[in-house]
Amino acid sequence: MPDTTHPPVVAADAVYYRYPGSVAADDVLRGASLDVAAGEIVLLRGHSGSGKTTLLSVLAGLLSPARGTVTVTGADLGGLDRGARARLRLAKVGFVFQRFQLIAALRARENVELVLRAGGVSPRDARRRALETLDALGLGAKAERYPRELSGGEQQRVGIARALAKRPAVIFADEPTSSLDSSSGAEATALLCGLARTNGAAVVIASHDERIAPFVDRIVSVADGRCE
Amino acid sequence: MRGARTLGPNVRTLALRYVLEDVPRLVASLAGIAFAVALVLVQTGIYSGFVRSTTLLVDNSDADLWVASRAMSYLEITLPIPYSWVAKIGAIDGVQHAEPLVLRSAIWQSADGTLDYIRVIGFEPAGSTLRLGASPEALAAMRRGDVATDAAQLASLHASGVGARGTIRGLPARVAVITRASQPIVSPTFLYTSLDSAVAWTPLSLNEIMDGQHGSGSPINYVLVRVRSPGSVDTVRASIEHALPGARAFPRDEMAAITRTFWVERTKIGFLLLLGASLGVFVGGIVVAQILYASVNEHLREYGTLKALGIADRSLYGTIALQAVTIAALGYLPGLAIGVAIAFAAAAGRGTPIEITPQGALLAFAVALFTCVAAAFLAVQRAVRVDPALAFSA
Repeated sequence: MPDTTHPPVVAADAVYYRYPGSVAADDVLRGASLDVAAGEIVLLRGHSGSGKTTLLSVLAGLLSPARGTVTVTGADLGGLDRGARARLRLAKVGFVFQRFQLIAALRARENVELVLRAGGVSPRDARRRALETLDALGLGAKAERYPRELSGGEQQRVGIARALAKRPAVIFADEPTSSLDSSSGAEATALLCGLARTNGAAVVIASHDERIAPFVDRIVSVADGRCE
Repeated sequence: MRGARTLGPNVRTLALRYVLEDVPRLVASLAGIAFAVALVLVQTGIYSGFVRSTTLLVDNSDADLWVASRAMSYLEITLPIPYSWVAKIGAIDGVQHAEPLVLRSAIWQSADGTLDYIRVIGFEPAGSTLRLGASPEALAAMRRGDVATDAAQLASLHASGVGARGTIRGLPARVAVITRASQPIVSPTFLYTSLDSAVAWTPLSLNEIMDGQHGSGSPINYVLVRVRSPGSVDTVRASIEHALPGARAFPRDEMAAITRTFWVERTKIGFLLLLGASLGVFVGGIVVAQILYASVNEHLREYGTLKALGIADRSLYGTIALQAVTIAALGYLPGLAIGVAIAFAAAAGRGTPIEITPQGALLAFAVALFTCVAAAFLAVQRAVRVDPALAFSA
């Protein structure tokens, strides 16, 4: 259950964003505000071009807003330089991508280990945690396979394992089901949301896939660069 | 969070897999580096071989001092000195042995009529301090009209080997002894012979023409001196220069250094070889840079993903630098093999000394490393500037 007794794990207040080279009239985000409580699972729903992926990028510190503030686990991203934001992501944030974004040259286990090792986890612990997480996602037998040897659904589960294994405070997932068939998509969503709840991680999912709705605590509509 | 600053083992694994994943591309990059390494090795080897060959005569002698005219420029350009200096020097306290050396120029005509410009070096074959890479007995057994020459020069002389005949100033000459490592690359063919033969072939005065042999009036070019005690070289040197005001006595190392410096400055060979080696390094660098850049472009989305995940820029630098270092290390070995093979082939085929020294091999490795790391610079810029938000774009 979402923990509403503590400050939100992610908070955006009147955020504006405009892509470089565009004008004010083209602002993608126009005063978007959103609070996500610890352990809460939120679906950002909206049409293509509504700004939900941009909002996700801003919340994750991948893009810097023109105006407004974003805090993640209490840290104001506006006060952090690029390196500090990267360190914050590495320590506190997990990602699940639409196209899985696994590193093709690394095995499933190594993909999961990569962020753990970069985050300072010992080789032995990183391996154990990677294997445990893959096992929890039903991929224990395929841990040594390369991404190209896995189905789309399996690759997305590796992506989810990579996001969960480091026990993040929040996971940002961008269209996690759009590259999957309906059964794989449902399975991936169930696993992501179920394990995130178990771990107490908040999840922010940007998607227009209605089938995700039953798995989340709250649905936020994004339209014209605002959250409604 | 400190771990984010380190190059994790999986990042190292990633770098190695990126290098090994495309074999044709790897082969092309290795070829580029091997080419550069081989060129650097051969060019530095030619330089070392050239420089060393200019002083072989000096380096391979047991003489502690080379006494010459004060006007001496380098080994092969000096004014004549009187033969009487040999006896005068031999009488100086501390001198164990003094022997004359004559350097003159002439034309060799082989049995088939072809001509070769030669340097006639007259010495006392029995008991000489010169070490020519031939047995002292064979040298001592040389008769009038016999010559010793380097194996590498037989082709220039149109001589098949020992027993080959020719003429010098119309007088008969015969190859009697084959020497080794006794010929500078840039000099005319050195023919070592007795003082009498040298004078007969290259008379400088009416007396020499009339006598047809070396005499007390025949000028020489050097007196080679061995001292009784190795520690007394400086004392004997001072004594000789005091006794013979027109003379300068050069310790062997100094004589070699003067000769080396002359050839290096005169020929600008160092600059020319550096130019050639630079071209090889440049071409090799371009090949590796292009390949690394293409590799980074190919994995741009993955680099974006790594940045989105929070992997530090430093680790991305490390990934690409490690790819560069791996290419350098893997490319160095075939480059070294090619360089050594070329050196052997050159020595065997043309007698051209290409000296591949440990220092040269180390320099080539450093150059390969520098080339690859420098080549990685552009690729690193491309990877580090990638927008991490790229990871979210479908």
